[in-house]
This record gives sequence, C-alpha cells and structure tokens, in this order.
Amino acid sequence: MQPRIKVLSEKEMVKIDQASRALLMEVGTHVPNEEALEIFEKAGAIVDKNSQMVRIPDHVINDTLSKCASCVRLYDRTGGAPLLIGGDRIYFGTVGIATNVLDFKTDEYRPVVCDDLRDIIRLSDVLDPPDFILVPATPTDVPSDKVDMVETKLLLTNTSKHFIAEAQNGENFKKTVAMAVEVAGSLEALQKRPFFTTLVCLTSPLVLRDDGVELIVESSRLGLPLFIESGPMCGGTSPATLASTIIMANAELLSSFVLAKAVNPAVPLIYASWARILDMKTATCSHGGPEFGLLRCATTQMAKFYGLPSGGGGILADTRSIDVQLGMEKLGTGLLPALAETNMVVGMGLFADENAISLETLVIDHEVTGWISRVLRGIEVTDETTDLTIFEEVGSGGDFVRTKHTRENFLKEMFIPKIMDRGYLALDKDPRAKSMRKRARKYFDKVMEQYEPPRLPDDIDSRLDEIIYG
Amino acid sequence: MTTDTLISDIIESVIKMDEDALTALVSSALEQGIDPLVIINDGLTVGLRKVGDLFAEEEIFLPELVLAGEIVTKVMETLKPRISGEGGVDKKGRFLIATVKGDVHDIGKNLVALLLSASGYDVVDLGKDVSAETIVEKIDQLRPEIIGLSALLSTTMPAQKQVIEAIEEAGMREKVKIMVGGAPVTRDWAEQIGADGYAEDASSAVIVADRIIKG
Repeated sequence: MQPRIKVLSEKEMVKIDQASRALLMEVGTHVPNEEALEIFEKAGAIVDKNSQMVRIPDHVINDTLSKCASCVRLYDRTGGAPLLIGGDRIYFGTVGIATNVLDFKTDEYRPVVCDDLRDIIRLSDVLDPPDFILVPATPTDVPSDKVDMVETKLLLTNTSKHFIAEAQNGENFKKTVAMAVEVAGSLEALQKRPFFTTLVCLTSPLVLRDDGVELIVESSRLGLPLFIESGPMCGGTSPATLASTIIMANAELLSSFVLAKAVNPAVPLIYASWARILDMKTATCSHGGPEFGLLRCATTQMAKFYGLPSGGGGILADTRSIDVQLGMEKLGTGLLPALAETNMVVGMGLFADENAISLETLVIDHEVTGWISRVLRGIEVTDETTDLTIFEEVGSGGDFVRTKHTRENFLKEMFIPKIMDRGYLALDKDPRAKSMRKRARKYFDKVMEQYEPPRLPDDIDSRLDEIIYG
Repeated sequence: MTTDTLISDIIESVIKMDEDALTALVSSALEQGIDPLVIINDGLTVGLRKVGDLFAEEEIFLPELVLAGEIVTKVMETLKPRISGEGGVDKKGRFLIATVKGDVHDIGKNLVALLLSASGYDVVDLGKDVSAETIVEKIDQLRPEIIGLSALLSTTMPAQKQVIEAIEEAGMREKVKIMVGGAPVTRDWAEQIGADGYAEDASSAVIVADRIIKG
C-alpha cells in the first residue's frame, strides 16, 4: 500500500466547515473595493457599503463550491501533457519572496539581483522536481513597482515549465498577461493552454485587500488559473489554537472563491494555504516546526473535504544556515503535506524563514523530494514482488547482487540518492569531507550542463521590455 | 573492420554490458587474427576500467558493475586457451581470495574476485568463514602469487592478523603477497599486521594487485 496520513477526522472537518461558514456570516469579511462589493452583492452576499463588510450566507458558499473543478490542468510551453492538479497527485514546486541569496561562491548572504533569479529559474528548469516554478526570489536591483513584471520576464525567457507569477495589482497583472501573450502568440492560445497561474496572497484576519481583489477579478475574467493562499499566523493574525487557525484560513479562502466564481464560474482555482504559527520567542512566523506540518495536512484535508485541488507551503526551514536543522525542517515539512496528498507543495529552495534562497538548498530540496516520493510509493506487495523463483535460483547462502532479478528491480524499488553521503567510514574519516553542501555544488555543475533555454523570437527581450517600461 | 574499430567496439560493448555483441566482436577479432592479448589488454580490460569509472561516478550501480564483470570473465575464459605462456595473461598470476574465519559477509569479496578474474587473474575463491589452517593448506597446495583476505566486521579483523601469523609460522610468508580489505579495514591496520597491500574498493583492488605482483 501507499502510506498516507490524516490529521482531522470527518467530524472535525464538519466542525471546521460549520465554524468557517459561521465566521463568514457572523463576523464577515472587510472588502475595501467598490467593484468587489458589487460582485459579492450580485452573488447573494449581504453587503454593507458603508462599513465595506461582506457577509456570505451558506447557500452562496454552496453555489460557489458547486462551480469548482476538482482538478485543474496546468500547462507548460512545450505542448506536453498538463499537470493534473487534484485528487491524489502530488507535485513539488519552488516558492518566492526571498530577497536574500546565500552566495554559492562566497558563502555569504547578499541581496538577490536579477542574475540570481535567472540562475535559480534555470536550475529549477533542469531539476525535476520542481514540477512547476513559483517565482523563486525577488530581485532588489529593479524598481519595486516593476519587479513583479521583471520576474515574469525572467520566467518567460528562462524556462518552459508552468510557472506561478506574482503581480502587485490589476494594472501589472494586465501587463503580465500581455507579456505571456507575446510568447503564446495570442490571448486565445494562452487561454486554451494557460502556462502560468497567478498567485494571490490573502490578508488575515478576514480582509480582501485591493490588490488581491484586482488579481482575482482580472484573472477570473480571462479564465486564467489562480493559486490563492491564506496564511494566518496562529497567535498573531488568527486565534492561538491550531483549529481556529484552520477555520480562519478556510473562511478566507472560501470568501475569495466566492468572488472569483461570481466573476467567472469557469476560472480554475487552487485552494492553498500557509497557515502557520507566530513564534513567541522571536516574533517571526515559523515555517519549519511541527505545527506547520500539521496545519498543512489540515488545510489539505479541508480542500479535499470540498473536493478542491490543494496547495500550500512545504519543504521549508526557519534556519539561517545550511545545517542539521535545515535537513530536519525540510524533510518534516515536506513529508507531512505529501503524505496528506497536498497537490502542490511549494517551498523548494527557500529557507531562513522566508527570507533566503540558494542554489545549494534548491539542489538539497530536490534530493528531499526524491526521498519523499519514494516513501509515497510505499511497498508493493504483489504476486510478482513476492515470487519464489528468485529465492530458489539463489538458494541458501548465495547472494542476490548478481541476479537478473536484482538488475531488473533495484532501480524500481530503491531511491538512488544524488547527493546524500553513503559509504564506508574507513574510506573517509574526515566528518567534513563529504558534506551535503559540497555534493550539492558538484551536482549543480553536472546538472546545469543539461540546461537549454526556451526557444523564443530574437526580439522577445525588447518586446517584453516595451510592455514593462513602455 | 579495422583492428582499432573492433577494439573500440569491444570496449563499447563491455560498457553497454551487451554479452551477445561482445561475444560476436571477440570472435571476429580472433578471425581477423588479432592477438588475444591485444583483445584482453586493449579491449576487455580497458572497457572494464571504464565501467569501474562509471560506477565511481554513480552513473551505473552495483548490479551493473557485477554484470559487466561476469560478462568479461566469461569471454576471458574462452580466450585463455589461446594464449601462450609468453607475456600472456596467465602471467598476472593466481589469486587466492577468502573471507576470514568468523565472518560470513562475502558480497564485497565476491565483487573483488570477479573484477580480478575479469582483469586476467586466475582467481581461486575459498569462500567465507575460512580458517587460517585452510588458507595455509591451500597456499601450500595451489602456490598462489597473491592472497586476499576480506573482513567486514571489526570483530573479525583480528582473524586477518591470525592468517598472516599462521602463514609466517608455516614458513611461507616470503612466497606469497598478502592483501587485506573490507569495510572496517584501514591502511593503518594493513600496515600494522604486516600486509603487503590494502585496497579501499573493488576497482582499486585490481590496481593494487597489479602493483604488488610486479614489485
């Protein structure tokens, strides 16, 4: 069987669903955006235009959920089969917002520049996973009002994989679409096989900010997919019980789904969450602790409760060093959501809370996903895998290394690590000699030889720059 | 086909572990009158060394390395009768190999034996859990140029020392070279117990054996 886990019972999910619906009616959501208020009203929500508070009755939520697809298709630019997001499928991706990079060569932190983002995207392109690329860093050497579009340009010109783009507001989103159209050939071609999804980060507690609203409305109008994340902090922007934090995350997501589906019932939506805790020692949010893994399993279960495609943070680490803590946090926060069948686990490469990225951590996280994927496949017990013939062939006292059976099966059954250290101690007694970081750097050089940039028209740079700066 | 092409195809088929292709290529090389020694030294051995490199680079894995070793050993056996004593592979010598008393781990030892036979040694494998007395007896009987003692446990490493002492007591130490290996075994240990050679893995065992036997 394939091992899977659940952290909430059916009864507990019903309780969370009921509490979320009550929250959306009794407390309501603040929506400081005229257009959105009208959309909510038309959809059947109770809207107070003075206080800009929206209260959503049960039947509107039911109506919204009835319009949601259980599986969303994410395309790439090579014409290949789309990633099917939903059900029991599990994909891993990178994640963004880091403004610091731990420099590969100097081993020191410095601000992320465009070249770093380019390098990280290229590495993400050759490694597999990431299955898709959520813009993996934020460059600091471009004007901050254009940085999202510069990120999208770097994604368009350096990878053919499906990517999740950031946009600061509706205006920049429209320009993002214009850039994608330059590459797709036409808006219709883009709509037919959308090769990018737009990221929306909701604000807790219970606010639908202007910028988020604009992205939801504009992307829904075009029918382009949305990856909507809620990230309440337990004890900070949500109450200090994990259950209440799940209620908060769930309610916020449901309200955003109501808005999107009211604009266009066909818009593909992914229910994602970063629900987490506020660390009470340092006043930062923590993404590497046991609660993070539990919350991710829980929000994933809530997505499945509604039959929605799920996503969220995972393979994350709070540590500011590439150290033992990193390994512990990355595996824990990666394995738990994967075992809960989170369809899109985003986090590869990111560490130092959410503040840093590095090429080494991306390679390490690739290894982590390999480890996790092997666990997910479980142990196959069939007539074929329990056949006695091979026992008889070798008999007692022999070895199985030299058999055809071994050659035919070992790659299927065993995870072959790329950078984990294994081997006889006698061969190398320097505990620092073969650190994972050194092996990650070596593997980076090897894997980058395979990189090929996407085929694009010669003048694509100037055409994209015209949209960004023109 | 020219000699060079044939030899490079032989190397390639060893790397691809394609037994049928290798057998056919070796036959046509012999038909064309290519010296079996050239086939072995420039073809099979080179191919096997490349397979060893691929294994070290983690491009191929243990079961494939073993397969390549087995294929080459098989072909080598068919060539041996065609080789005259002069400068032949037989000159590489007889290699007696065993896992020492108290130790039943033999996968590593088998791999070393395989690569040694594939590179032209006349390997006699005494198996596992072999006593010092048996080893001394076999040395006396088979007159090997070199012996290899494997131990996978730190608790059975002393048995390597006991074998060397038994060989000394039997007055045969000067007649045979001794190599030791196994997971817990180190170069220091090898020197301490008076072995002539130590190899850290199967591929280097062949290189060390070649060096010892010459020197």
